[in-house]
Amino acid sequence: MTKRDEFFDSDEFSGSGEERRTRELLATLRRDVSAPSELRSAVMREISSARPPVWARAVSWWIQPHPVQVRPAFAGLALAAVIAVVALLPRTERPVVGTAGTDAVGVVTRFVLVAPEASSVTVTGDFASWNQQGIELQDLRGTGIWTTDVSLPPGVYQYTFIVDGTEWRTDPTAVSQVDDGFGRANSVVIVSPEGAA
Amino acid sequence: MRSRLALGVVLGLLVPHVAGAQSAELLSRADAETLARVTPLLQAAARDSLPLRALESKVLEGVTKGVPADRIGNVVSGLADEFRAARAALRDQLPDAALRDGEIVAVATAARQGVGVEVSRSLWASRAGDGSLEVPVTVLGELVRRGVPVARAAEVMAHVVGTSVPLPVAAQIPGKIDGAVGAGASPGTALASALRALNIPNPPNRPQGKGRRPGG
Repeated sequence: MTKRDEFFDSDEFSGSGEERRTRELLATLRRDVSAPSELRSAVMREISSARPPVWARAVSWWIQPHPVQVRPAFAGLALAAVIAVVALLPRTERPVVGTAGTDAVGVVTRFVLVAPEASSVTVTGDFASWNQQGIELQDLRGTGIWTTDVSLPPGVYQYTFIVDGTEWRTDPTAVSQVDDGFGRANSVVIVSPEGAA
Repeated sequence: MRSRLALGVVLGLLVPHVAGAQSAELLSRADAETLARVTPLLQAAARDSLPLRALESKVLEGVTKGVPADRIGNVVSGLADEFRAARAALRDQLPDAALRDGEIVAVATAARQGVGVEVSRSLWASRAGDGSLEVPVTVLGELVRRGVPVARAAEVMAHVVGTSVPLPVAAQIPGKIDGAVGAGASPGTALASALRALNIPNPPNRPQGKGRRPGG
């Protein structure tokens, strides 16, 4: 028996008004108090409404820092694998032809050749690796005026038209014609940072 | 130490890929004879920091035009010599300038049109910013090719690169000269007419015209 229990059992305590008030207080505290049934559901409702929606939790997951453990050997192997995949991917030619705004770096340069007799016209040059297929010009109105827009970085380029796949033809409107060193001539286009001449 | 090793591994994997990318097209399009003829030339050009792409482009041009390997080799060799001379002359007087490939090609081309390298080089001293001088040097060569005296052409282009004349406007000067020459004007008169038409102010030591905004 503890000293506190001894005190409550002592004559000093029993019979006093203090005892009566204490017993009433204990009886009150020991009374079974059950919460109203609707309180539980109300509390749970509040909790669930305070929980952020799924998308917000998903965003939060990506934003919040998470400790990540990496094995250096595996990380190195993964990096090597990525490099190998990039190196082995088939290399595709980036299309050069474009319309205004297709390439933020390049300046859209228009090539025009009047050739009513032609059934096809292409342009090739420094900017097309002198590929014989070149870049096709279109005669959209059937007037014999063949045009194409090519997005080029600023610089100076030599080029030539190929008519009907066989005839090399210089551009009569070019700023200049230069000897190509092979017995023919190339046309020159100057593409300045804000436009071609 | 470990990070250096990792960097070495990555570079070892990447560098051959990048270096090979430049000549992959050449390897796939040129025949064995042409490759045998031009490979030593291109290797020497790479060692001398010459504009390699321009030389490769000339090889591809020759291949597409069906030119024999030997002739392609001769043309590329001559071109490389021109680039080498232009680069050396520029580097000699402009040891700290970052020379762009296009600038070296333009200086070499202008030299072929009668503009001495020392004249082209003067544009570096005149330029206001650090933009490429490929287009101004090309225009300078085009002016001289049209009969404009070298000194006068250099004066005009020095003014262009030293002031706010937009390059697209300056690039129109040769075409305007052609128009005036076609109408019977002398090259000098045609140049003056072209400058007026494009609203390019006369160079400072020339009488000032009524200046509107260039190209406006």
